Amino acid sequence: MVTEFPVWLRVEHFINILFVTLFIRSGIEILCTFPKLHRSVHTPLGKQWAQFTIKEKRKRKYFPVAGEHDDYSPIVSLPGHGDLGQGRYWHFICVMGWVLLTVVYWVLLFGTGQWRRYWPADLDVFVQAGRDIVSYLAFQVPPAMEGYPFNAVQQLSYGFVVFVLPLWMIITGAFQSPAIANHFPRISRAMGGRQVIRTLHFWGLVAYLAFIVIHVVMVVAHGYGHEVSKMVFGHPDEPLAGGIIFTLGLAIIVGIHVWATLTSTHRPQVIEKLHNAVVRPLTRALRKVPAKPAAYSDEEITKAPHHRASGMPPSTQAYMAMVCNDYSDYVLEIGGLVERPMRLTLAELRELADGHSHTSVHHCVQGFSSVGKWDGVPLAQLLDLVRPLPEAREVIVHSLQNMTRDDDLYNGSYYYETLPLEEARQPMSLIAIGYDGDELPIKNGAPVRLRLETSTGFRSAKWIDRIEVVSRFDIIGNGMGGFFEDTGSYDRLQMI
Amino acid sequence: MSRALYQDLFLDETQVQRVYDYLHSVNFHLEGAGPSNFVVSRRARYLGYMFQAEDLEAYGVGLRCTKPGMEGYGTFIRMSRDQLLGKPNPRLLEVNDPVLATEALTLHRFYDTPAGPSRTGVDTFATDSGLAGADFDLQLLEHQLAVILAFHHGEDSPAQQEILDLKVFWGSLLAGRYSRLRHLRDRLSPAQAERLDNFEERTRAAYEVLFELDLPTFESLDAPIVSNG
Repeated sequence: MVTEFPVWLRVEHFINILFVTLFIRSGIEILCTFPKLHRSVHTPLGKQWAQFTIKEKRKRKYFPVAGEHDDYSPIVSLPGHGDLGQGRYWHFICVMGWVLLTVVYWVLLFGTGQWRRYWPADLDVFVQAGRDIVSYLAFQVPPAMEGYPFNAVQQLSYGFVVFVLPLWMIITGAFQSPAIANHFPRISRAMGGRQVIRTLHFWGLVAYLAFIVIHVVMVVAHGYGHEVSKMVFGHPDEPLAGGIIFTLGLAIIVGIHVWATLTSTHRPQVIEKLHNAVVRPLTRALRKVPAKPAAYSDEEITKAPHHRASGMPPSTQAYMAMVCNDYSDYVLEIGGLVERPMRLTLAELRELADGHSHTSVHHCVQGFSSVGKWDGVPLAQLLDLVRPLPEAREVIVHSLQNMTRDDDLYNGSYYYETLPLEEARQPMSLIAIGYDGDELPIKNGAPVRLRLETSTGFRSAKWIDRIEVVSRFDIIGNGMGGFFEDTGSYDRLQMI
Repeated sequence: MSRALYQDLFLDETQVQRVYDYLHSVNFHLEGAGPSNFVVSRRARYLGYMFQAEDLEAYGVGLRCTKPGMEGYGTFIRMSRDQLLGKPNPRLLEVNDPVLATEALTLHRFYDTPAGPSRTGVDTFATDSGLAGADFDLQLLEHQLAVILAFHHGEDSPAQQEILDLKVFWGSLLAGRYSRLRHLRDRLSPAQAERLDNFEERTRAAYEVLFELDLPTFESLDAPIVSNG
């Protein structure tokens, strides 16, 4: 039975080629926007263990992490040129499809007993696999094991790719989600923290690449036509027809990749719509999952000023004057669709905060992280004070940061972000006014910033100017819910 | 590597005096308040790292005005590290404008004093007649409409908003403060109600501009909500 190639196995093999190659290209795009691998959750400057860029940073001047993204060719990354938003869309579209495919495949494997084809019957298989490798190195094709359609090293590598690697990638992928990681902070920490998890995911990418290279070489070495005939017809006896059909299939996959790249580049809204249809059910569900305090002690937090940041502060002399006067001139305006609008100075905010703080892992959309201890007022508490009116559904946070005036890379408007009341009222949604008992560092949003702990970091708007409660966000800006949502391919649902 | 060259300096008496001496030497002043009318902040902030246009040697020292009637006005003076440390022949950096710290806030032009609003706290607007906070809501709405019309006419406005800013601020005000006034119309004072009517009339008269700039109208508030995320 295990010598057979059932049709569902062959179909799965083909679809998997598409998903895995899309994963690889989109994953490389995601990697390129923060092309450094770290071990420490604090992502300390200069302490990466691997780097995939030769980009130089400014010397002695603040260099936001946003500027670290590199520009990779569309041949290796999807869609290429550092388009993180579209890269993420593709990656998560593939997650939904591929996880479903994998579950179906596992159910069929176990339901039909075909799982035995990938399971070593005894430890001798490992010894035989070693001999098989030696044979290959001597340019000899080792024979199949009795009762199996492949040899020992093939069985072990297929078993690894079918069972171990998917689980590895699903788990390390899931725990890079801020919503999941911050809901299970102890598990995230036990896995080594955000950056170790990112590195493990990277090693999974390397494993897939290595497998593909070796697998393709072996297919050719064993006889391309006969091998792909197994994947087309279920037997090796139609090498010509099998070779033609399979090669046409590969051409279709290449065509899909070309279409994906061109569509992402020239009609990104198409991919955005596909992403929203396929992925949002998951991210909407994750939005309801509240974050919990990080499993790091006070001694383990990233000490200011080393908490990593992206984005440039207001560049005006007036803001410098505010900084130089210790922010005592700052006033936070809270209004909109509320019963009781108000203005609060920093001193008044401190009084409301009454020593409240929480510790959280910051998950930047680019992939860096830090562990912060944020002092501040729960946003829910401020909302209780202003009393949103019945029509209120959303909160909009306007920033002092003007992207055109202040930022290296982006332009268009003042920065803003919106969030639904459901998210605003989560226990760890915070208006932060301090860091670890001191003022907020300038790069982290001084004097006041938002913290949203189930979301990637760009939604935690910095340098807050005012907070408005509103009935809807679709008539605000370009209707997508924030600056990056309006101007780039970023979903407001940033839970993964 | 992008690490800061220096850290903030905590000034001793001698260094504070150097600041005062410098204020006098460049006649740093606010309109109505001279170099003797300031208290110097003890913490000189290193500006050279975070602020891209600042010299690597630049520090900012906070100044709080003490002139009667101008108490609380906050500004700063730019000085070089060598100046603060009293090194011989220190580099002199360009003297900054006597800007007020409150000008960093986008709503500063609406505050009743240059040093910021005179009322703050949870009961900021409690003593308003009519609906608490409505006067300020109307001020913001009227101002934003004026900004839109100025943008359309190609005029400069102090708000210096780009087209996406217009969409953000106008949309936010309509979906927030205007909706509040609409919802609580029966609690407005006669003056507030009249002001709201005038605002609505002027906005409707500007619909052509709003359509041209793809900005929402009052009717947009009643359209079905498209929740994109």
